[in-house]
Amino acid sequence: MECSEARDLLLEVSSGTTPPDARRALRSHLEGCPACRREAETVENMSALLRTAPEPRLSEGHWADFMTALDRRLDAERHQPWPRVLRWVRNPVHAWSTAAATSAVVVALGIALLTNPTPRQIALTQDAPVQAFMTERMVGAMPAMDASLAVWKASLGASEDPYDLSGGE
Amino acid sequence: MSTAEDLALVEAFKRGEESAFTALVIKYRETVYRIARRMVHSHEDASDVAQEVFIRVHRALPRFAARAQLRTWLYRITVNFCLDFNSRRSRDVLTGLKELIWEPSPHDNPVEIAEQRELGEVVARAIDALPPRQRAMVVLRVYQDVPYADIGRIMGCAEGTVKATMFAAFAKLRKSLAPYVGAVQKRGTDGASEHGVL
Repeated sequence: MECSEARDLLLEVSSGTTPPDARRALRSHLEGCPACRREAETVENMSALLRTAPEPRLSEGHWADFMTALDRRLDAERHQPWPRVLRWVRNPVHAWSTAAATSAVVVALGIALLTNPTPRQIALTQDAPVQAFMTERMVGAMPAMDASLAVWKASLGASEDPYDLSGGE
Repeated sequence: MSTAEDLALVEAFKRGEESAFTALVIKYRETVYRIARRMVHSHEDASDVAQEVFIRVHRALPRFAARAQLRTWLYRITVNFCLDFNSRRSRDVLTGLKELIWEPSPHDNPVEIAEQRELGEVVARAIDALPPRQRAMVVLRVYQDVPYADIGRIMGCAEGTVKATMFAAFAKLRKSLAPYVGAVQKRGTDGASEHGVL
């Protein structure tokens, strides 16, 4: 084992439980390497020092209060319908039923769209009471629109009815 | 902590037995609290974190895949929640440190108690000063004895990254705790012999 490898392993071995073979390999390296042995001593003292930090102490009755508060929160969660529905849907146990229900909805929507007639088009006529909404600028632009309309109608072979700019007055 | 027992409890919970979840909470609440207590800065915060962790576990348990270890999964939720919690809160290093000090027994030597109290406070402060991910790894390794490979799974990184991060964390701790390492040596703490090679 190389010194760099031994020093990598040293930290792992001294900071917690490690497989016995790693520990054995490190020990045999340390036997023949005074420099790594000195390093091992420092690292082990450091780890020992870290373990002197005390475990947190809890007051009596802490866990009873904890469980009561947790139960209360879980109970509140149980009474909210949407999280329950989402959890049910996300549960892998319900994956097939969720997939089947989703497919059924998609197929039903598809059939509904394919079988229903297309929505009736609303025909715009010149009698439509749009005059009330026309501004002066719109009326000013009408001659140009009229010319465009005439070209468009001619290309479609439509009749050349005069366009009433006065709005039928 | 048996993995088979954990899986049996998870399966029971998935079948709708709510008492299985209570059993899991009772089994892991202390560990979750201890990790949180070393990562957040007060007892109240650690207790809130532990509550929130179990609420999340309760929500996510139906999707828990049996191929993962419940303990590793639970630690991941705890560590991630603590990291989020700390990033949301402004850091107050000294808050709650005194709570981590040992309660003396009436038979203890007052001089030793004072030394132990000081040492505990110094160590807690040194760990607290580490960057969050380094602190999380040190807590998992030194106080929960989690193997490097599992720390990698918990923290979402490669084992090599864990080694490098632990190395960096220990270098910092070594610097900040240098004057105190000798004190442990003199006292002959059994931590070194428990995990050591010398």
